[in-house]
Amino acid sequence: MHSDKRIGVVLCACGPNIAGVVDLAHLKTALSGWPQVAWVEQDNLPCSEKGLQKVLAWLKERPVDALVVAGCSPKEREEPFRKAFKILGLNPFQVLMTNLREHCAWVESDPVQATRKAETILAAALARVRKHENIEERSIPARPEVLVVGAGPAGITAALHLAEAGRTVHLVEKTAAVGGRPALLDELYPKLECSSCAVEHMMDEVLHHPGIQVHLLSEVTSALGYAGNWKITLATADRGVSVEQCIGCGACVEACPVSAPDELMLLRSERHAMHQAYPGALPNAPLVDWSLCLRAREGECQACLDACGFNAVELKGSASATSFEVGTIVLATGSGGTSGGARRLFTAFEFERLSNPSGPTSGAITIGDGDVPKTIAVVADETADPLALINASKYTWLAVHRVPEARVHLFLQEFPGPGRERELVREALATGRAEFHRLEKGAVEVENEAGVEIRNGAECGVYDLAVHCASQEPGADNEALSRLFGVKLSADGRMTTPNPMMQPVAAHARGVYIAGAAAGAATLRESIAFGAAAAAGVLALYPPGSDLKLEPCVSVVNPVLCSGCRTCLQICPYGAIARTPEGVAFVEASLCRGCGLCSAGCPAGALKTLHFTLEQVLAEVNGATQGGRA
Amino acid sequence: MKLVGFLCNWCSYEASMGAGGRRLPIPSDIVFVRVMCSGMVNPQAVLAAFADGADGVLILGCHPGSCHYVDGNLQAQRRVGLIRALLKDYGVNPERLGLDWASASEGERFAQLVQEFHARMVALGPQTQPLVLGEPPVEGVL
Amino acid sequence: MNGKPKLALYWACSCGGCDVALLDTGAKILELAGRYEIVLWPILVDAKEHSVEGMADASIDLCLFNGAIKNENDERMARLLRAKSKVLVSLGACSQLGGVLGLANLTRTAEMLETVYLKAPGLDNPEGTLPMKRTKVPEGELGLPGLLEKVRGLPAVVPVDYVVPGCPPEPARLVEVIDALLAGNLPPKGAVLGASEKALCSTCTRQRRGLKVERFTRRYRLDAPDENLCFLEQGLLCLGPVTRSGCGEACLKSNMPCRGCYGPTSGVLDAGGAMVGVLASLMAQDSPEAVAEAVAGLDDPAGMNYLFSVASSLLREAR
Repeated sequence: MHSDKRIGVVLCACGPNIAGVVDLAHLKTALSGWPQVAWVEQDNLPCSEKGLQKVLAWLKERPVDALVVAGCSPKEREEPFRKAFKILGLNPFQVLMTNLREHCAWVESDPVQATRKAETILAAALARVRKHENIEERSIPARPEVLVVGAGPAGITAALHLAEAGRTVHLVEKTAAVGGRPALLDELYPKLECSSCAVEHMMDEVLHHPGIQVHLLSEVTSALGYAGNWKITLATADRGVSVEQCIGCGACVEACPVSAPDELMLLRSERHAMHQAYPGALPNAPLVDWSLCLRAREGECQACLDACGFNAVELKGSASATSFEVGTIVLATGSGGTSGGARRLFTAFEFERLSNPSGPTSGAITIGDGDVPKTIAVVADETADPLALINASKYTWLAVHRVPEARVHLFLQEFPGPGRERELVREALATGRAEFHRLEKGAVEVENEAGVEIRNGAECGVYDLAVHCASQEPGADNEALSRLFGVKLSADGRMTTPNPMMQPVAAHARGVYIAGAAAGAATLRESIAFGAAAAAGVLALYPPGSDLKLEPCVSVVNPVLCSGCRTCLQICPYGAIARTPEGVAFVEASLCRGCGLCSAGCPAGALKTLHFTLEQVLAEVNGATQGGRA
Repeated sequence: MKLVGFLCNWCSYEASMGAGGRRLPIPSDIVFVRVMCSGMVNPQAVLAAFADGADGVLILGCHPGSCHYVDGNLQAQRRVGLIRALLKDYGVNPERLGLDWASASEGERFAQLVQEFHARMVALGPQTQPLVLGEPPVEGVL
Repeated sequence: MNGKPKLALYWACSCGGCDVALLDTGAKILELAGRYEIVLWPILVDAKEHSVEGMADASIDLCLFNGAIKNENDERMARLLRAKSKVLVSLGACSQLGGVLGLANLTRTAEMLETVYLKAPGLDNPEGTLPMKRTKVPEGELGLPGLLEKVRGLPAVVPVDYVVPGCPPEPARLVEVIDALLAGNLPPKGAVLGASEKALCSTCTRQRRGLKVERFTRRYRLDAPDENLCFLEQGLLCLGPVTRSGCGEACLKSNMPCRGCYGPTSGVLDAGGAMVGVLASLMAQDSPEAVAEAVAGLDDPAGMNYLFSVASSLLREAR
């Protein structure tokens, strides 16, 4: 019972810092007479080793239920006194440190005023500590397994780091191949090295690592649970081919009778229903496009089955579901943007496909009908992200060096500042076959039969081929993923973290990490760095075999009073509150950060944040305004 | 004067440490209550402070955009706007409820904000004037 | 007189609605009247107030007290009936909380008298006559009880055993309460009868879609609010989140937001303060100027948020 609680008070002199201004003897006398104060002691430096020994001795000789320490900042010094309580088997949250130094002795030079203020501060502290409750410091069991969604460079890096650190990783990839976007690009900034070569090694490693289970052609359909304990369900499409059995000879591909224009080849060549995702895709096994496949549509053909001499063709024809449990999640689902039948006007990704030696033209930069362009324009959108500027300078350099017959026109808002982009652009200009145009506001590119017309301010030109470098698009599935994993999206559809500067990978939901282009435009180097950071985040959350520590001072719902109005759900920045089937709010303690925004806004008083309940704060306020002796 | 200040654990409490460390004068009429976030301040606690006789309540949090808990300070800003409207109807000058921001390194700003708030409250005078019982316009009236 | 337990029903500063609600229970009120001897019920029975003074303490078994404490006689009767009654029930919002009458606490008695008797438009009072506590007439002297400066609910004046909220309490709920009384089936003292522990949102069928409010508006400004969407998300002030459920939601079903007549739930310290939490969570504004502008769009903030509960709010009265 609060009214029976016996309270000990330790006044810290802090050398001359407090005692020099505040009349501690007067305070000690005054407080000793207050209700529920069992004893008041003074020490020069109770936070020191010797001082703490003394405090322990007092607590042992004259046991109390709660302790107020009047000294400096609780943020710095409350912990040792809490430990003292723990040593004695008492609850550390019955200790309250209040500030008589920075809040009193150091800012009020008049001893009479300072002593009066100290008394008020202590009145508030005593009133508050009377209402303190025991709070348990809890941990919950947490699974060591990790889910990584997306097998691009960020996801692969995270998966490999985690697997090397001994974790079991489920790497889930939507497409049939690992490697993500870089496996499809041409040459990478800044050294213009071959993109697929750069990521080849990690693609191999991830497919063969014993700690990593790779689920291709799979998407997460449900993620139920909370930090340390999620049940994940996947839907896996039927590849039509067993990756384990397939030796990658391509006989089934040749035998397949149906084909359609290939988007990754800019519709300039066809691929069969049974096809390799793209040249060089790993794992080296084809997959079936069921929308093309004759067997799926008419039920007869089995050309691929007959052609295969290794029993690798397995036409199940239906998706399968898998479930497993994990403790942490890394989302590395990358950016959006697809390729189509570009003829003259290309997006950045389409241009990469065109110039890729494994692309539709073996890397020759040609217009859709095969003609070599005489004029090439490269335009970086005025509102585009830095990656677009990097791409524009790269493509200008590439166009000049790959198409000796062409003049290249670069359109940018400003000439690039010092750096690799400027070097590339200057080298291009030095060949005498490139020009820089200042991009005006509202410039427009229009593709027609004759070419790409670019209206730039007063200037107007027609170019045989143009590349438009816009901002990297957000991942196509970001909306759905944000709902599945409780991740918040920015206004332009990217995944966000609560504090992009100080915590670049930790999402709002505890135990979920975001890496790579999913969070915004990223170069390959950045994606790999963030993938490693996400792995570090996972490993730091809890070592395997140990429990996940919960924030002790969490918010708790009283289901009797909760009317299910959903105000708290709207307020919580971390998605830690859900609505139960019975229609009341529920705070998931493993996600709660103890900020108390919810309880301050609950209209029914059904939510309380432990250690900062309304009752406790009111007592403190009452003590501060009315002396709180009653 | 009886003034209550709510300080958020991350920015404004640290700012108060900065002010104290520099020995900047803080009026002795104000007592600080530590909360985790300016968004943790329950509007009912603010009204209770005034009902308990506080002459002024000052809430100090992190600058908008820098809240440790994403947007608690913006929640506080909306709540303060509404509480002021209620205070006005109850004849309590809404200026008696203050809301401002100070980051952890802004010890001087902290001291200045508190001193200025104190000065404004002194100018307004104590909140709990004795209740003026309505004097009847005519002796003996109901 | 006839061995039946004694029942008193009293109205202090009241509109009479609670008594009408009791009568609306139909046959149930006859059951009550049949079981008890009614020793006081000004609206219906001829017993006089001064006869209560003569009764022994705690001789009235049950007293149902509606109306707020606004004049000296209300206070006198409140204290008298508490002394004379075993069980005292605070019936209705005025009795429980001060009710709508509590809005008087936001002004001064002198101001009110001036407005009503001297300044209101359409008045015909050329001599400026004001009601007096004592008035000489040819037959003698007439007396009126003086107005108290502030309205109070019954629990602020005397300890109360049970509360039946509502303005008025719904007849269906009154039937349940009377049944419990007749069966002697009451919870421990201090309980609220005829209403839920949960706020109205628990029974409201409207949806919350997570919309943010750009500006507040009033019901009369809208031709037809969306019948399926939470009023608050439409910018209409609805006190549902802080108000006890149990009324049957006639207002909500008539496409009118809740005004809070069943009073705040037990976890609410101050209805207006509690509503601030909800309103702030719905507002779209992020700058101090935009917040001030949106708040200025709220008509009569205290009057609407504390429509029934000014007298029991934290601040209780205007300074």
